[in-house]
Amino acid sequence: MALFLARRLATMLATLMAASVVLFLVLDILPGDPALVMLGTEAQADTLAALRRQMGLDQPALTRYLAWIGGVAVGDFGLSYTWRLPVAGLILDRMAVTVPLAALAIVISTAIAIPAGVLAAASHGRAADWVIIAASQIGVAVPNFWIGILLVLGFSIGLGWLPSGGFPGWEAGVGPAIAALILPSLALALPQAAILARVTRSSVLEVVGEDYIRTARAKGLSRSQALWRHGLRNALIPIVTIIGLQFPVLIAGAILIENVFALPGLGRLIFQALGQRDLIVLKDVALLLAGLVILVNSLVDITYTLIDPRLRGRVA
Amino acid sequence: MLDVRDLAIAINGMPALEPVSFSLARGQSLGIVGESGSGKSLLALALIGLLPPAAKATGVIDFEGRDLLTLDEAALCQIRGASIGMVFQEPMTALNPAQPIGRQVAEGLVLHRGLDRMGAAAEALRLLERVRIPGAAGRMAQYPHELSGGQRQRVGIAIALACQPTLLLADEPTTALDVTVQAEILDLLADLAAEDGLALVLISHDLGVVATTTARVMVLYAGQCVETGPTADVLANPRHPYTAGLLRAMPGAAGARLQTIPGSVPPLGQRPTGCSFRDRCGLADAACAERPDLIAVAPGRHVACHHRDQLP
Repeated sequence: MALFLARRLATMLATLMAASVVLFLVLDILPGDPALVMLGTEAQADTLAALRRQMGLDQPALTRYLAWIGGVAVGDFGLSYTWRLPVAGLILDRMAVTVPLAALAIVISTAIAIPAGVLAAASHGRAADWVIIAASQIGVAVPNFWIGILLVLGFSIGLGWLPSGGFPGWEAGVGPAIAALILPSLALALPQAAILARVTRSSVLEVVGEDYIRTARAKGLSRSQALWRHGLRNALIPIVTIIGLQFPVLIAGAILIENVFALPGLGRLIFQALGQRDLIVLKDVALLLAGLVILVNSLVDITYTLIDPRLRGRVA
Repeated sequence: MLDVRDLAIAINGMPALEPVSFSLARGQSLGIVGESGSGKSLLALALIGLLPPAAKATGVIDFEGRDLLTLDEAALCQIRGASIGMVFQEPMTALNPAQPIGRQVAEGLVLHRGLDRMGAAAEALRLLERVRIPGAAGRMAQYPHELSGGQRQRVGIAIALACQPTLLLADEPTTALDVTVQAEILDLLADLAAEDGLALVLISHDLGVVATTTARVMVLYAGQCVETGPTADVLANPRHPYTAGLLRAMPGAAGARLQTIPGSVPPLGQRPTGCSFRDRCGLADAACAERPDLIAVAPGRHVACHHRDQLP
């Protein structure tokens, strides 16, 4: 297991390095001069040149890449061009919003999708199955930001139960902070839940015909007991795979949703940084997100071995 | 205790099992023999109420005074695993690969006997020892893939016997195992059934398996009971040409050339009119165009063949 984890970690670092190179190159090609954005279009040519020199923009690409990645390696994420603040602090503030948002969305989507998928499989071809398929079809078809707008119309403007946007900050208390995250995480979770419910349904349906389900029935378990106790765990590998694959989609969705709900999260930070050509913020946030995605993928791989004891031997 | 009367099974309206009747008291054993497609596994699934949705059973399965075919699902769940245990063919796939075997044995105990986790685990260990799994205590936490085929089948038997059922169904329990292990598993089944005074229904395509294990035998061909009687009697003196053919097809004395029955079991919906075996039978003649009834040829001995007296 230790060897497995070490190998996993090495792969993660290599992937992250590759991602950083791609990121750097893409942002380097991106048109727009940060110095020009900072000084405005009326700026004098020599002031611009001086600022470029001060920001290191006149250096060759390789030097700039090494300076960036070397800083990141020792925890120095650089200084934002526009906020004039250390990027590390900016990111930490925003993560306090985005990480709970994403986690809540994953919890909600799993809590909806797995029972719905198992129920659909257990009542295969009957009414409950059709209702769940139809609902998930709608969920897949509707974009999350539009669901967000509908949720605001229903729950904050119509019923007045939850805030329509903004974030009071964790210092305002856990209750109000969570309340501010419920609608956005629901908007993120519902389309994901729709896909996950379908995967769960087909995965469980595949397991239904297995001999050990028949053994479980012969013990006296009802159809749904046999599915929950013996089917689900064996059906879990494709489900966990999809949860892992959905994570980057969730992060991308968070950029839209944070803007719909005016949440000061990483997504909104990336959106603002992009508008202001704040390349250093953009690079750091994108690298962080890439790291998160890679981390989640590794967690998924490790989860496989927890789910299926047969995979453990091969790993050790 | 078990009284089956005119049990017939149809799949999507096509008859898969023609009406069969038999009864079994505690301590008695019945072997059901036939090739694949003879309806023997459907019969076993009907006895525990787990027929696939496409299959419809008619007739009466009177088990301890209740007709299983008229019971609802909840009542069947009370009986399955509690009063009727079943051992399946494939020990490789019949156990949940993601659950330790101790828990799989204990599950029925929690369900039917209301034991708590600790009590069920202790009882599961006793059962694993009873089915002669060496080092059972150390194996409780192991997963099925860590066990050999024979040991997995022992776990399957422990699961079936967990709640002390009165009827044990074994559907080809040794088919997937090595020959040396087969004999051990059969001995174990026979011993355990005798110790507990169980009624045992053993299903196999192999007359040899049934010969050593059950007192009575029923031979099925293409969904029809063609011969039934005391096992020793039927094997020594078969009266149906199909039974005789099965016996000749068994590997016997060294050097003897193995004989086969020409052709194969007709698929569902393509069974011939009249005697279903006549296309493959050396004795078939015009009389066989009419379906032979099961006729008593001796006390407890029935044969469905117009030429039952022509076999040597």
